Amino acid sequence: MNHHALETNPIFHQTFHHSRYSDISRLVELKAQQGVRISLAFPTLNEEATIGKEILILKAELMDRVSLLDEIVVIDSGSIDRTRSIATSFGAKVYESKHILPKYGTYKGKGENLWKSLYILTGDIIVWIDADIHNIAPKFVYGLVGPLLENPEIGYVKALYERPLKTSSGFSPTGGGRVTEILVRPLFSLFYPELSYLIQPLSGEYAGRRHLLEQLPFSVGYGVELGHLIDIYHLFGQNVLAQVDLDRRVHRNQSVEALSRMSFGILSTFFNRLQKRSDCHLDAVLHSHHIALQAKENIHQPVRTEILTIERPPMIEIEEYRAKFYPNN
Amino acid sequence: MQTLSHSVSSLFNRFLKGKFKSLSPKAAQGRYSSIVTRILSDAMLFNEVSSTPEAESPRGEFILHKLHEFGICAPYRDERGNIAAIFPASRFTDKYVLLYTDIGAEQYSPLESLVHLIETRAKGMGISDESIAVAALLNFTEQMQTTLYEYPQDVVCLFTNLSEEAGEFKNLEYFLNTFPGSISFTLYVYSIQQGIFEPQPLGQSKVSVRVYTLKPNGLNHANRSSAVAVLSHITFQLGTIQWDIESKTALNIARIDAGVGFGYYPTEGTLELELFSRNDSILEMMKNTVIATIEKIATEMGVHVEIKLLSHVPPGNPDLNSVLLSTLKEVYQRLKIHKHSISIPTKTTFLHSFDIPAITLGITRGKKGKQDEYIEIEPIEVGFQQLPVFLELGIEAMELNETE
Repeated sequence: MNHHALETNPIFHQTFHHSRYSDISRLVELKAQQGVRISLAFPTLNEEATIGKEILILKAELMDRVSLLDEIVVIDSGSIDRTRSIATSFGAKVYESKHILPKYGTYKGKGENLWKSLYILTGDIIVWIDADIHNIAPKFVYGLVGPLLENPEIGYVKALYERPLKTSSGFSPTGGGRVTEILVRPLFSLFYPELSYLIQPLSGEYAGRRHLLEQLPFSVGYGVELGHLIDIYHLFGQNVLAQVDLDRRVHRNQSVEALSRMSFGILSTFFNRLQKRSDCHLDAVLHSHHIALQAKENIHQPVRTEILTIERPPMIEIEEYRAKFYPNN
Repeated sequence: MQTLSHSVSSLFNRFLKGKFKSLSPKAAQGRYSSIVTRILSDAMLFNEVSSTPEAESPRGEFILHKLHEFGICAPYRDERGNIAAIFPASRFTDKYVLLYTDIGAEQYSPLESLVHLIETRAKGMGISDESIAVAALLNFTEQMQTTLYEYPQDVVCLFTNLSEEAGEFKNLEYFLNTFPGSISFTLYVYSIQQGIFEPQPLGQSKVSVRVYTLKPNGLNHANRSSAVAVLSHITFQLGTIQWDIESKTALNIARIDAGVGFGYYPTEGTLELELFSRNDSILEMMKNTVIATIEKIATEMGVHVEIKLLSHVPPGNPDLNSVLLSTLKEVYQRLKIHKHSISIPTKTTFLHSFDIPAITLGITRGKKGKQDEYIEIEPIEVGFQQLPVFLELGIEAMELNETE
């Protein structure tokens, strides 16, 4: 794509600020006119510190006071803390991932929870929000569903925000989104420059239409967001993508070691997509273990961690799903 | 009294039979009712909004946005940043009841003010100060707006910044002086201290003391007293003074601040003192005694002190509150709220200086500590019910008292 084409990139023109959608009653009217249901799901694993607040605020403001949301669901990967009991206390429907579509087995990972949530949720529009946000507010939801209700051409909306680092000594105003800037943006610039217009391509908050989401394969682990973007780009085109500025997101920040493992998963998904979509030919076999070096008494020792690179098929290919959502076909 | 009891029964019958349908809590999925979750939600969102002293503050914007969402599109606003929702009475009257709460934050931090929620508590800086109270009053306005319920007197819900200036609350005072109508009584909606009962509104003086000492010569500390040592000595000496028990006279050492830690010699320090009494002349004598004691110690220890009288509010008038206190007892009894007396004065005495009967209602229980600040969730339900019940009974009792 040439430079001129980038300037006319539709994502650039479909970048909004959440305040555009702050008149929630207008969104509720649009929702009623279109006769759609909206579902919110949180994928969780040991999120007792933040999940209660997220559920309480979004339920009180967007389900009880107005009917923008029709359901709030937690899909849990087997937390060993009080995540599930807290979520139930504050009124969410809670499911353990392993109990959903058990015939297909279970994997630990965010992507796995998102994939299975498609079977559980009843909405025509699905909103996924990470469960580790400290400054949750209704804008996280209405900002994401706003473009979908306003424009039928838009099918998938990503969040963008400032990501201050929360450290033991306080806030660092920027510094979050390290994997995006060091890994994903260079990759997009090389292979999919159109997608470089996404400011936070790895953000954990996004919303989409069911008919689009059910056609996407899901990486069970770290690569789920990246995989979605590349698949949507190929299947539906960049015109269906939009992004919304939510101002600021305060969340738990990860260590460099954790980010390294995340990058491994993302790269693995990325190479997988390149080959699958015939964008690049790779002869080498990708390994499944991330190798870190840990210093112990002046000697570096390798620490090998298996990173799941399993892909779930598009949900529309699952028989039980079709029976539930398309019983007449 | 028979009439009051009768009206209480009548109110509760209506309450329980559902004629107050929208004012009564609606069952919500989960552990807590809809009204509790709404109050908590508003409180957490409000707590995370920064506070500034200007009239156009982000917290004021939050309140306006919420009122707009409730359908109150043109609330009362004035140049001091006061915001009020006004609900006319069921009949013609110039009398109004004022419910008010504080929207200013004494402490705000982008990190520490983020609220953490567990099953039974919400924790975070500021949550016990004003956020739950603001949320409760917001929800009361929402209920009033949606139910169109009318009391026999106008009801005014005021959101104001109660930053204290020399014992006065200038924004509240401005409102009282400029808002049209005749005030019947006030309810200060406070976040914690549910069951608060203040039979004898105490007068209060606030004093700050700054201490400056010299650095020691080399390693010889023998002839020098550090600021920490001087402040410790002052507080010890003040602690040995016997105050008049009859007039509830007491001294509260509110804060001692000196020193920066290991490796530094403390040469400066601050002491904040609150003096309480229900007798104004004893309070005056107490203030003089405290100041004289501090000056004497400073002279003996050879240090420089600066003493400032920050504020003086004379004791309230117990007779002015007698009807409201009877009503409050009745409300606590009906709602099974444990009544407890307090040792620190509230805003009551300030309003008594305007001859306005004044009561404080705490919405829940909680703690404000230096390291740990939280509110309990479960008592919010009954804490919120105090507002409509007290209003109904309080208006009736005050009108009855006037006619007798």
